[in-house]
Amino acid sequence: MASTIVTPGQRLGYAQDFTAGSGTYERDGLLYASVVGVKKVLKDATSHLETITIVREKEQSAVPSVGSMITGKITKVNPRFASVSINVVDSTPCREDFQGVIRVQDVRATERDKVKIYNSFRPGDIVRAQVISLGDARSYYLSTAQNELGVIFAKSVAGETMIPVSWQEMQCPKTKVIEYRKCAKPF
Amino acid sequence: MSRLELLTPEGLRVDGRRPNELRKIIAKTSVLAQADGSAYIEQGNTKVLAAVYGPQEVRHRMQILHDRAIINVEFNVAPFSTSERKKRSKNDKYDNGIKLQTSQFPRSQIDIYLQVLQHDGGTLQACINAATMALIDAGIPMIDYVCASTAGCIDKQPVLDLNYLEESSDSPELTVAILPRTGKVNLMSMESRLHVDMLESVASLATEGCEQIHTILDAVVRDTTQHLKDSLMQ
Amino acid sequence: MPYLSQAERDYITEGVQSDLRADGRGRLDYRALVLETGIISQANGSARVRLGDGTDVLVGVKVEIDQVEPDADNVGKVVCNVECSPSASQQFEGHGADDLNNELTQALQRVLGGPQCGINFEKLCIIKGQQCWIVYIDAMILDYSGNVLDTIFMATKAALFNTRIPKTQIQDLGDGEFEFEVLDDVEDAERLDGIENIPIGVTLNKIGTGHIIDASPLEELCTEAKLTIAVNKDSQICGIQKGAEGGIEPGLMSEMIQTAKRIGQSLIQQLDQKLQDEEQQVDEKRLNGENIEKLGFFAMV
Repeated sequence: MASTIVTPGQRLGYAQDFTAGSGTYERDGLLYASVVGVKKVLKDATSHLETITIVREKEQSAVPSVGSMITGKITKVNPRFASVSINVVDSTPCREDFQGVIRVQDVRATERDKVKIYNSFRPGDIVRAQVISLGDARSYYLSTAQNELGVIFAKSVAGETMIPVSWQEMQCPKTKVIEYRKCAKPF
Repeated sequence: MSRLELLTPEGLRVDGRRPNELRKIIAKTSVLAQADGSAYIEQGNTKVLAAVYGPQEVRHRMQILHDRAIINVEFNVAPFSTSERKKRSKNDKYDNGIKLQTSQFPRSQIDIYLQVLQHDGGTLQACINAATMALIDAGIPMIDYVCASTAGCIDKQPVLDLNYLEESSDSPELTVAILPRTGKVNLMSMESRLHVDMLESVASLATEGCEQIHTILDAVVRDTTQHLKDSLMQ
Repeated sequence: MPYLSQAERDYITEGVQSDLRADGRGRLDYRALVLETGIISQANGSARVRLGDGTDVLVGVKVEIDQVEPDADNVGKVVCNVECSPSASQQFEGHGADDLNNELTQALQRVLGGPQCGINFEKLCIIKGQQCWIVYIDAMILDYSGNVLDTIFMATKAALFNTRIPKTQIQDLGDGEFEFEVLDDVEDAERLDGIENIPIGVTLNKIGTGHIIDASPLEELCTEAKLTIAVNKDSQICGIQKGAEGGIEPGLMSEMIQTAKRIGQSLIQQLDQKLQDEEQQVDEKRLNGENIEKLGFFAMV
């Protein structure tokens, strides 16, 4: 089907004939466009109705949702949680940073009661984590309880980029000092 | 006292327009690099720039609404925009009745900044039209366009889209904003005296103006979206 | 405030070292510039400059009659004001731009407020000891992508070039009493005296050991020290302002000043040429009775 440009408020069809996709809304049994863009009618395998979606020009900036992988920087730590400033969601950089926390029970999957936050993260570390809940009004709840999650970049006290030597240790190449981190498994 | 002739015997206005004629409208979208959406509109000599940021996290946690987004509007007038230079009147905030699907963005905030660069009557209508264009440009879901227009009354003759001269000569001015496709009225504001018998004809003229503006704005939006269509067709 | 990662910082710094910047420019290359004058009909003069794909500055000049200052009764004055619109950046919302506004206003005022700007202030005086013209320069930053101060200077010079001050006719009433009349005729209005001497600003940003002009926002973030130098068409230095935290070595400092002089010179030449060409075209069209079509705001976007 030929794609056409639609503008907000434009009537697209009857609600019983189509499923409303993104960029559309339904009112009084009719479907209308809510954004400007190109109309696409897609066959849906699970339903017998076709879906109308509007492909818009500018995609909204990345917003973390439950399950998405984030990359962020540790901003502060205390015995109960580490605060993270989320910079990248999946592979899209955020226009502005979101706040997240990794609570002590979410750092790793095993021996949760023995986790010490200060042996897992330090301020300035770059971590990869997963969003487990939208959290409270202030911040997203994040988890690093998987092998691939945890610190991916950290600097030692001497200011050198450290090299991971095990899943919970990193070594400074200059001073050979070993610092504790919850390291992410490289992939 | 010789009152300025606002309507010639032939029924033409000071700037040569007919009573039901709009001023020339020039509109452009995506004019700014930083904002998520932006638009610039010229209605005659009234020039307004609008920038939209959002939806994004709410800055002041006190204001969070848990079921929808909050909309923050800031209105700014350039010091050189009027014939008398004056210090700006900042934070002249007013809700401009924009019809958004705010329930799609709970706990977030949408900022609209309006900047009047040149003032020649009908600032409110130009601001509303500019904000609509900027919101569309930002890709924020809306029920419909919101188009605004003014109408007034000179010598018992309803006239459309008053300019500064007509506005400042004590003629009543009514601003109307509608959703053009349903015809619902979103905003109606008047700060002067108008005989109730005239109200209906003035209001219907303003509504007519809104529909004309909608046609113009819609054409601009379609025109600027053309390249998106082209890129998708390939 | 956006912040810069170490990797980005290194990338930019090393790039400056090898004379290649992120957008392909060399250290001393300017971005493309769009300039237009006379776009605000309510102002006595106006200009808009858009630099590259971002920075957009609109300057409006208005002249008003006011009482002279008691301690300087034979001169008029120039009053500058810079405002950052929230359309340029979210940080400028509410009072967020106040500090930057002040900083930029001061920078502009310091250069244009005194005799170093070349404007003949005595010509702005209408009646000695009584009344004078005050030139209000209002700059508005509509969009931001680095190097605002230089853009403001350039837009201001263009706007002042475009400014016409109405002529006045003074009547001698005897007994040292004077009265004057402002002539309404647009054709009769005249340009400010000394307009050709108005300086422009060149900002040099020191990154690593090199220095660049016309910095982008990211380059501004990793600037160690910056130096804004106001130069006029005769290569005279009309003001220097150092900004940012870092220091500048004395040797580098004089090198930077020489660079700024050279670049300012060529910028002024190009700017004057452009302004004169534009004016000539408008005049020609007016003579031929043709319609003068302006580019209009954001026409090039």
